[in-house]
Amino acid sequence: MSLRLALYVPLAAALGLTLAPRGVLAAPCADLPNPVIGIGGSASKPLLAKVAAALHAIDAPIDLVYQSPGACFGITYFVDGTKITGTANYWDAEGTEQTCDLPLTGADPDFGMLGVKGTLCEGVDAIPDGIAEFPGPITSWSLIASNDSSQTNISAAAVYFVYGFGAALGQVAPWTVDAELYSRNATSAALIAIALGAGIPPTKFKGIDVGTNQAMISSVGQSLNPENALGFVSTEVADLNRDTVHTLAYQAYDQSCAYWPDSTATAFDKRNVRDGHYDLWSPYNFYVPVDGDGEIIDPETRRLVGFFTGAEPLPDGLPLLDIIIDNGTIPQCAMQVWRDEEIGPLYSFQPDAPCGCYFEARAAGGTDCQACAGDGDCGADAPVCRHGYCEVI
Amino acid sequence: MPIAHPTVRARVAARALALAVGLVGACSSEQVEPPGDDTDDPATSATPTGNATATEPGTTTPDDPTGTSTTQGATTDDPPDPTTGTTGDPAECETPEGCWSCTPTTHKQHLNACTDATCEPFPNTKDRLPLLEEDGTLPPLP
Repeated sequence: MSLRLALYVPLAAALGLTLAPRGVLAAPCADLPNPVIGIGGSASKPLLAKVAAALHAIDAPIDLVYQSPGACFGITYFVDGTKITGTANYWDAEGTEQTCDLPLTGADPDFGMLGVKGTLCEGVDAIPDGIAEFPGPITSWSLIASNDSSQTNISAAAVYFVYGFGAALGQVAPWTVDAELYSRNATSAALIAIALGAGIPPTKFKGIDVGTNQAMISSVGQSLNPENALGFVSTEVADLNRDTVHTLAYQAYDQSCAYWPDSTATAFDKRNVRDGHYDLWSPYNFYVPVDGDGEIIDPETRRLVGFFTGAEPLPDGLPLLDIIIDNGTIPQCAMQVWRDEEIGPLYSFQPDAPCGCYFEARAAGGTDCQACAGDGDCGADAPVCRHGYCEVI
Repeated sequence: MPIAHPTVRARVAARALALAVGLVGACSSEQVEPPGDDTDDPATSATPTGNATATEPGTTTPDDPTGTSTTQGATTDDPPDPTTGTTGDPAECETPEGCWSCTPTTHKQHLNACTDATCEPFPNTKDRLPLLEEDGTLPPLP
């Protein structure tokens, strides 16, 4: 572990300890019937919580256990070969978050989960041999303001000044108060992605490190100087908290207008992420130990990750596509653009089995696509009936 | 399938360095661009105009006195038609509103493709970003 990353460990441990109610001993995670232990960022917790609840309903249920000290810990533990300790979360069948204790001697994580590529984390020059990357659903990143703020948009250049120079030095009104500039540390996927978009080295990113996505919501949403407050979270976390914060429309370099992740400020369709107008997005990546053939070694982890990648057929009781969409994340099959490097150049993308129509219908509440019961209901332009709608292939 | 890992860090570092040295390329005051992006982009030299010149946050185009949100270019009733035989020439594909009406093939064209989605231009001007260099480029980070 790099020295700088090691400096974040005490903070991460402190955050982990807060997960367990004081005075209450959590049960050992190892006592769960079929635990699969993950580690990574807090941005993906809402998604994992929903998936974890559904995993109780399938044949051979899986107990998804997750510790969220920061995205980059989802790769650094594999790089360093260290074990994870402290407490972690799991979810019951109702989706209620529970806490369990990891062994005092530590546990080997079964998977890491990051909203950016692991090689962007400090001290990670390469993904270690025996660890493979599996891209999952797409998340986007939101710069957020309080609902008591009048601000509605921001540009990459403005982010460069505010977070690159600091609020006061950056002089971008109204984000000129250092005490109202909320941030994370360089282990945060959100920070790394937004830093890349603005051209700021992650370790030079300014602002007050609030630790987690949820703390960011509280800091910005409950600011006593809301007009001056600025922060960032994953868009799904912002969407869950639209009663207190709002996502700012974002204008990338080379872009002439600022767009929201959705087609309007109040929609939930993620259209601008899917078609390339909203630049701050990346896939969640799973990092998992594999054998010489690239096969995930642990069979239960292979099942879990395989559900996301399509390598494993979805069992009855796990409506993963719906869960991903309802969470505010985007399945790869609904994307129309793709990129090979984080916040890098976009190019047109045609998924193997597009689901854009179904995505629109479910996320936005309607679609112009033709409904169908079979391929025979579809025309030549969109000949394949998939998930109840005629898709292009 | 597992994904190979190219030298992402090197590309990131190169991009950050390019910004840090002050965006040597010519940039308009309306649109700040990092150097090195879209060098193969036929649209790079054609800076989108139109509503990018708004002067205050929360406002939009000069022709939008209401200050409400706007859309760029085509609507669903008036979609861009990539089958009309256009060549990808900026003169042919850039609308007066500054959006790209042909099938996008570069990063910049994707970002600026015509859409009926709502957008609000952020003015990358010296008024809004006082630390911008006189030529509209970004200064190095402290």
